[in-house]
Amino acid sequence: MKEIAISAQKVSKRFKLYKDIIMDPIKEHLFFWRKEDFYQEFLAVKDVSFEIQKGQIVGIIGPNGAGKTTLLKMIAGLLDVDNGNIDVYGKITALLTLGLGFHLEFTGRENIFYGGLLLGMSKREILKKMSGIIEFAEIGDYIDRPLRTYSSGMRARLVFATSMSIDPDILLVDEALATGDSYFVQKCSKRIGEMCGSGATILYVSHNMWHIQQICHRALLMDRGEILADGEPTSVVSRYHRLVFEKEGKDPLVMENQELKMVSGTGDVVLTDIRLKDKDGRETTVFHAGDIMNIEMHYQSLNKDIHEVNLFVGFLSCKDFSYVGEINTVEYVEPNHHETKTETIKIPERGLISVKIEPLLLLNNHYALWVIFYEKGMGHVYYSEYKNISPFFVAKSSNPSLKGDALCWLPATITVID
Amino acid sequence: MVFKTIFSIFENRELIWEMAFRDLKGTNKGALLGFLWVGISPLIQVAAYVIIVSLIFRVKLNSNAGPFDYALYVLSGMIPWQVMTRSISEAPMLIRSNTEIVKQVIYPIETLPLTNLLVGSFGGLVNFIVFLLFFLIIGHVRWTLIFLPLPIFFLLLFILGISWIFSVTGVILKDLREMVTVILMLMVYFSPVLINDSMVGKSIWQIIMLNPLSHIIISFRDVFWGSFHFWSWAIFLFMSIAVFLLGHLVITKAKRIINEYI
Repeated sequence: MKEIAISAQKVSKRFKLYKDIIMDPIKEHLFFWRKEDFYQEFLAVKDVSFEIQKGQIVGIIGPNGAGKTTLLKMIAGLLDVDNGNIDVYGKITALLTLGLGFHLEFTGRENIFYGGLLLGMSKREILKKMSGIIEFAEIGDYIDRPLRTYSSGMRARLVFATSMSIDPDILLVDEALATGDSYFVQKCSKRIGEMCGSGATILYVSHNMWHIQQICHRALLMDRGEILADGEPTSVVSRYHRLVFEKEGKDPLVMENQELKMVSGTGDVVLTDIRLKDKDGRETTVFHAGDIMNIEMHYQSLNKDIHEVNLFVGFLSCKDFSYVGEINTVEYVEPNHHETKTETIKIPERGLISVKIEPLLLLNNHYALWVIFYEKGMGHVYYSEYKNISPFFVAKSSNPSLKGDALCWLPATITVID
Repeated sequence: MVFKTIFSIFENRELIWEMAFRDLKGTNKGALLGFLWVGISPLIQVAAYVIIVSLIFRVKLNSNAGPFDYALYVLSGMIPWQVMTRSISEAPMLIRSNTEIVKQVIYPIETLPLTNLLVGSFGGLVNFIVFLLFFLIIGHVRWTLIFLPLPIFFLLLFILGISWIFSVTGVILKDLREMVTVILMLMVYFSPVLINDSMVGKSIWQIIMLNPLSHIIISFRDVFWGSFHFWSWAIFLFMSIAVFLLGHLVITKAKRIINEYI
């Protein structure tokens, strides 16, 4: 059996929300027989149990308000546990925020010193690490100038370098790595890997799913104070995405957005409904890379006769709204044919168009559709255009890719010739 | 329980010291004379006081006292008074102005009053040395001066205790600091800092004796001037220990829940 670093048994945390932060706590004690009148209870963490082995990097993910930070603070000893028990074996350091104790008038060196003190290091320890920190931060001669003369990038690096210099037995990180330029984030991830290699246990709260999959050995999914999933990061992350989608689906605001609203066009051909279906014909918003995706579009045309139109379906990444793929009747690839095809579609007054994508080669991201019906020929009159409709998520398939996430897979034939 | 806290203070002595130093550095950084101001202003303050009172107004303690006696008499009460009031009036802000630190790292909040006291004492220390030099030059040396650590120790207990109480109360009661500042400012007139019993009527002196802080001043003066007031010492000692224990109770209780209120 492996050594345990953190063990939590049936941990709960209740917050009292007071309307009047000054008078209500006083009234609560004065009128103790009806104290429930003065606050509302809010259960931030419910009956959570888990064990974390030494040397593991564990990611905690979940929507906002899931209780992740509360849990970290309880482990750190910053918040009291109401019910249950948390045992921590080893020296613990919490990086809940960055740049604590930094002062604009102090030099880089002084800031490293005081920042380090607040992280729980001793004076000797900091002085010993000083040169290493300065080197890691890549600040150069600026180290003896006041912090206010630094560029924001230099400040960020100094803060990171200071935070990363600790060697705790157990490290709690809350979103802290989410900022900063990517080069530095890489460096920090590496450092976290090193810490872990030297036997440290790391608990890492993040909204960056890519990071979680990259550096964690295990992930916990929390929602409304409970642990919904616990296990291998890739599967927990895809469970998280499903959860977010379920939530969005239930959210009336999002439903309203999903109402098909034309952004431009004459209205000659309009969509009346759009649905995404999986290979078994079930409606879904979550796919796996390599799955079959079927886009079913119900339309209505003003033209009573059969009408020839062009159809365009674009794929937008919800992360940065970049335009990552398209299917266009002017030129598209049909599977099993080795050439591109140009063919308008002939549609009656109303009906259903099915766009079957087999296989779906997009990877690990949220996407939305961009649909345009437009005139045959060169005029490019739009009959109707829809943007950001029918959002869906593509989860990474079970085999993790080597280097982060590409946008898509490319179909290929691999042969060894002699 | 109390020993645990005392041990925590001992263990964190480096942190206390460095944080006090940081505070001083932070407020004086960028100023031309920087750090020197911590010493310069009290030095000028003491010198000005002695010169104005003794040489210009020629106030005398009593008919057969020397020209500097009144100034020294006042200073022997004023220096501990200033150290004490400065610490106490800052106490309500201790946790509030360090919210970020208290919330985000495991910071020993019980050490905050000591850091604050150190910051406030640098000036007081300079004052005290200047005062002592005057005192020795005038030739008022009393053997009772060897007991000086005693009132300092009990004043420390008192300041710690009351700072713990105020720092926690100040989190909830936002105007505590203003209240404390005003009360302490008025209290100096209901204390023997500026006067002695021969300068005011009996009934007024009795009112002054009702002020618990008066006894702290009287005890300090006993050490300097070689007198002894039994009841003042008794009240001072009892009050310091009581306030210290009460403060300790408050801070240990609050330490576990303070994070939910800030």
